[in-house]
Amino acid sequence: MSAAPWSEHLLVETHGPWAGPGCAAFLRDAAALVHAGRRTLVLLVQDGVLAALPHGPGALDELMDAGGAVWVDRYSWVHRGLSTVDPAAGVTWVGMDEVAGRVLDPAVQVVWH
Amino acid sequence: MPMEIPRTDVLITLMGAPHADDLITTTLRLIEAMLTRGGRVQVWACGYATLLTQRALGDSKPRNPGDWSTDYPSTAAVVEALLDAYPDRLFWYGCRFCSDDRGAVDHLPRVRLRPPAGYAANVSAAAKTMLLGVI
Amino acid sequence: MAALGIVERAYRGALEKQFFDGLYLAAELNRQLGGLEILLRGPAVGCAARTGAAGSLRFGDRVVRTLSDPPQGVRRLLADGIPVWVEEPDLVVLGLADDGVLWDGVRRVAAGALAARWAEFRMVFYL
Repeated sequence: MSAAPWSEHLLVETHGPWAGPGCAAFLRDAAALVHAGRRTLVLLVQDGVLAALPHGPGALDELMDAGGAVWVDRYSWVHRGLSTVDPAAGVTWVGMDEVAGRVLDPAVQVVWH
Repeated sequence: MPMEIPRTDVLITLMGAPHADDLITTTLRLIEAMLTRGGRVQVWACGYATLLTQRALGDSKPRNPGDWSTDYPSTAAVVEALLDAYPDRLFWYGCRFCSDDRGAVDHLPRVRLRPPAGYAANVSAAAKTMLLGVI
Repeated sequence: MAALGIVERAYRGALEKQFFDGLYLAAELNRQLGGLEILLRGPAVGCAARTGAAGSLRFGDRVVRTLSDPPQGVRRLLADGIPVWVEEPDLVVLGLADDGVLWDGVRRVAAGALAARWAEFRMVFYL
């Protein structure tokens, strides 16, 4: 089966900044895609949502500065006791329905960290 | 005769171990959401993810001494619920090698065991393949 | 002599673990080890937030209402008289440092300060 041409990249970050340098490396990959002119969306889910803490290590700074789009799974956020905390500016709340729409889109490449 | 692999929109290759993080919770949430949208999904479980569909888990987790009468469904029961609700659009495969390697040898009846060399056929049957977790 | 359990990685299988998460184990260890104190650090300080659960999940026709609920886990530990400590800098990073955000009775401590007390515990482990 030939590979479909990808019109968008969905990068799913599940580990977050406290798990080690991998989160920053993955978000750097996302920023590189944006700089290369690729339509790029990052989904933060599970501990990945911690990258969206406004007083956190600034994991999203490079990506947001480059114009990348960031979705944050609200279920993961609330489960982690953060319902009273507003995330970093510019991110978008989502649930699994929105994510499913992108994953089912044959033109969206999904990379899961 | 080779097993026929129904075509799907997505193949989730699920490799991460249960009980290590929220990967399984997220994956099953995503599967439910894709099926609700009318998508066709297949799962290839590898590594310790093969433990999810063991018949030995029964329908329920062991009882909670602090809440004796509450039922806590097993992961096998949750996967069965998905297979019951979406019989023509959800297909669950288990890697035979990983299952044998981890003693996960008694899967739910609707889990179809596949040899590792058969993985390419599952990939060919999906418009998109994703790998979730690491073995 | 009590034991000290340090939790830095919570959220390890809301659907698989359900009631039997690290905090439930803490309650059991408290009974069996003759006492336990709990230190939450890193993202695990969120377990001490006075919040509701993230909600039930539906899979096909099955609704699972029994997913792990870490804030309730901490609440139960406090009700059992188990001291629950949180490292203050992590509260700040997570945005949970304001008054009233945590369950009553949760104790705040400077980062690493509890280590000076390790000699008081029969054992110290990560949970």
